[in-house]
Amino acid sequence: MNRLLKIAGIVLAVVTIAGAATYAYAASRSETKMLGVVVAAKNAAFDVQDQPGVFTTIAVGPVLAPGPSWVVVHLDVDGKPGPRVGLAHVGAGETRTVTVVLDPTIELTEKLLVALHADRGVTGAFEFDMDKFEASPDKPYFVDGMELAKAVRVK
Amino acid sequence: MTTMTVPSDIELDSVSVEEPQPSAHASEDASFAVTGMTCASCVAVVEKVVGRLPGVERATVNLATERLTARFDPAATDREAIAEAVKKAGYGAIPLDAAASAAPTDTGGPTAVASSSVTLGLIGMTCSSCSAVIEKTLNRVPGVTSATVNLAAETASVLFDPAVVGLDALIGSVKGAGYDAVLRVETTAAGDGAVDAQRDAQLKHQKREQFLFVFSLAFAIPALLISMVPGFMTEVPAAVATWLANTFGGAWDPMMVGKYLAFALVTPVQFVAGAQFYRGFWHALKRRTGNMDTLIAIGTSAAYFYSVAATFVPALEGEPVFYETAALLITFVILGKLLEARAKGKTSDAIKKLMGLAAKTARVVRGGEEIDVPIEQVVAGDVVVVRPGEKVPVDGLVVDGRSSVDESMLTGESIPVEKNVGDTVIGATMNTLGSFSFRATKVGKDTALAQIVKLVEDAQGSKAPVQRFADRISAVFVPAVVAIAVATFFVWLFAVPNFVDASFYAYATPFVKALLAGTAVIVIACPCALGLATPTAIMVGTGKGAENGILIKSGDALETAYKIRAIVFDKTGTLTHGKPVVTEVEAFGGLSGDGVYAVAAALERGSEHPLAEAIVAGAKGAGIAPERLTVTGFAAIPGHGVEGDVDGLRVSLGNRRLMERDGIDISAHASRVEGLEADGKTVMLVAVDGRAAGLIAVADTLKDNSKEAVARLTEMGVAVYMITGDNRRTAEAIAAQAGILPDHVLAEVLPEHKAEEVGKLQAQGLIVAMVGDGINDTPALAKADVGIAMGAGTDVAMETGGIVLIKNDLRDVVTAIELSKRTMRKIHQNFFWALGYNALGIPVAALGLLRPELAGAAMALSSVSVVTSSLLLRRFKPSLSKAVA
Repeated sequence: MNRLLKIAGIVLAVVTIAGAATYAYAASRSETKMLGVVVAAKNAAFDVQDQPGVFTTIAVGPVLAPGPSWVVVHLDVDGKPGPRVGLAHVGAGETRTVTVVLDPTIELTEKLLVALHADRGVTGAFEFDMDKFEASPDKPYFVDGMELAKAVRVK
Repeated sequence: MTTMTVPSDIELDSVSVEEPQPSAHASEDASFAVTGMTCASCVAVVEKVVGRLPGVERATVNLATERLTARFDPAATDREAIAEAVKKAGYGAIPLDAAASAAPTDTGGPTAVASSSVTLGLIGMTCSSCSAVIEKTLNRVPGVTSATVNLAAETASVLFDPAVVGLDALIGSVKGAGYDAVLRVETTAAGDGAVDAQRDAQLKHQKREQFLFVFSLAFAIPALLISMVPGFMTEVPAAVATWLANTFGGAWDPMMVGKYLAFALVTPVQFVAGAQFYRGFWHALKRRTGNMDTLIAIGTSAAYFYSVAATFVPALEGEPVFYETAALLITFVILGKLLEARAKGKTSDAIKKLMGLAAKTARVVRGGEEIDVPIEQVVAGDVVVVRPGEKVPVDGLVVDGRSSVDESMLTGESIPVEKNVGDTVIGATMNTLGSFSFRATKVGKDTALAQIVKLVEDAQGSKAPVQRFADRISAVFVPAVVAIAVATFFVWLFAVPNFVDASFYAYATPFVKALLAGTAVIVIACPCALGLATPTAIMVGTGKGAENGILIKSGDALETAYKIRAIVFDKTGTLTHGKPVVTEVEAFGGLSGDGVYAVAAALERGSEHPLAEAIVAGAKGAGIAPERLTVTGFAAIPGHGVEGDVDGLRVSLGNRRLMERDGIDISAHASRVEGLEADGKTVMLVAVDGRAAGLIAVADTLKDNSKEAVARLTEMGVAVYMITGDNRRTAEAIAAQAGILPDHVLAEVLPEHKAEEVGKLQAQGLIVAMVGDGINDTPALAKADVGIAMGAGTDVAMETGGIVLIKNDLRDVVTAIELSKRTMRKIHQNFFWALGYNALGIPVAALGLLRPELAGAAMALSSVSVVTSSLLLRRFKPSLSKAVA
């Protein structure tokens, strides 16, 4: 009986290790998915409408945030967030309208990407660097595995 | 002239018998444990003050064993006076032969009084630093004279004064140092009846360690997966974060969730499984010393508490964590300890095998009935019945019946030994076909088996001088390592950033890199392997010796044996059988060879002289019945021989002087007589009715294996000498047969001068071994660097010399030297690997090339590898095969 248990234990250990190794190998081959701050859909959301012709500000609202957060506006580079052109802080809960001031020195693209980031580091200081995603406290919110972001047409 | 060949299965042509010499005077020997000595000067002082006492003939001090041996005239002085003299010289002395008595004897200074000794079983030691801590702790207890800890055997031998300190206080002091101790029960050959508290405690401790290992592993593997393995690193925290967000609301950063998970998984490992390291660290700290616990506690705490800060201090949230390092480190160290305990258990297999030989029950005759009783209930004087195929339960003397007994389990002798009434039987040997009864003479702890077990246990617990090397290194190792680790940390933190590109710190800050490098240094440098290098090899080596019938009584003897450059063999009973046998019977005419043999044997029938016994036994062996002949008018002529009438014939039997006295002409046979004498034989002439009728030559013959052993020793580069009281011609004859050079024959040496001859060889710078039977060569055995006593059957042999050969087989001398060489080579290999591992590991870790958890695994494996390396000694096989014994 003891012998059987031992064999079963060894087989289980081998299968577990082999399975974990296979999974880890497969996972390492796939593109690493960076995940921001995870929230439930009922706790984080925002709405933004197309605003053709705007140059200096953009209105976002209503905004529902689980805690202190940032509304961040990026240029659209081939459907992905490019350089940041605007930033506005919002408190926890619902904010009817947030006006984000855009950087006048940057020429806007046809569309802009608006995202909601957490303010988890030093409150009031936007601490996010795409190149140091993992180490940045103010990562974007993710709902159901997707970044909480929307495109808005400005031209 | 007719020649008769004497039936004998033994090689003949030997020399005369050495008569036992009476001791010169009624001196007494006494041994004392001497305390307070530190160097060779102390030895000289003690020897001098004792040597000056009236009546003291000799005083010898051994610094390594801290023992004084004195020979004195009891009419002129006594043990107390000797001890007092030592005390006045500033040292402590305890008469060792009085140590067993319960009454305390005040013979030393205030802290040097002792009259009792005890062996404690220790639990919880991990490395040589632990043994040093316990030794130091016990030695500080008032009333304790000396305490020696054996790491491999996990024992402490304590010599103490029971009037000052009790057993509870000794155990309490060990517990106070952070370890556990139990009284080690004296080993007996009783088998199941013996309760070994230490074994029970060790098993309990091992079970706890096994649980802690499984416990740690159960937490450490998930912690490793979510910390290091890419798939798990992202998916698991994300899934948990999603679940948390959906269940409890709020925002959850998967990276932080990963940190929290690792924290939750590793914290129990750090403080439950790792508690033992904190305890050990604390106890070591209280004694201002360090050990493996110190290093593990520091190493794991550095990784753990830094990670806690990186988890809960907002400013450090972006920093990586190393929880898995702490958990894996603890898991690996516990695993290493388990493997080490398992391997260490095997080093005492020899003892277990010996103890397993003991019979469980005995059939004794009580009230006229045969009843089976447990072995513990057999008392000396009981008549024990042994049937075919049964074990002899205890030692005794055969009183009825006859049989052959297989003694191979104790002596290695493959041929069963004939046992008749009056012969000795040894407990644990196996009866073959016959039945017999014997009277128990030695039971319990006094049996030969129990004595052998005790002797081997003592040897395994003894400390070889080479161990001091490891002790010295271990003492400074931990503080040195901590210093190196701190230096590594600061160099990585402040110096390295000035010499490397910023990209070097893309994934870890200078602080993190410094912390990892410092931690790895702390962990890899643990001196566990070093502490185990010597004792494990000594345990396996002495155990292997016991399996081969070689009882090596101390690590000291084992260590010295391989350095032997000269061996002095006592002749009688060592190189030779020690009993004369008839080698030639020759008739000169008149009587046949058988006739000469018959009349000589008839005449000698009533004599107890060894030569007479040899003639009678030889005649009987040749099928002659001397008792059929009638002897009258028997007369012994001292220094000449014997005379008498045998069946009406006037027979003279004796040396040439007897023939001259009786006016018998032997001139025609003189050359033959001289030739035989030149071969070392004792020639007795037989005359019948005034005419020379024949001769009988008697000699002590060489043992079967003496020549082979001498040849092998010579091959090994050892100068072989023979020492004897015989005249030079006789001595050289037997030496020639054995293959010993004539100039290596030390002839005409009185027993009391044998030690001087050994001393002369030592004065030439040779490491000398003396091989004898321990009967009349005790001083020589003691004087030699290694005394090798033959035949464990006698108590004298068991007590004398550093090595005891159970069998009377000289090839075992070769085996003992080979075993010593192999053991010492193994110890040196172990040192090389243990130190090499540290020497290599520390720089690698300091260079930041080793993660702490891998350093922990390497450290655990180093101990296991040293113990396993020692276990390889179990494959030792003597070069001289016993197959043809």
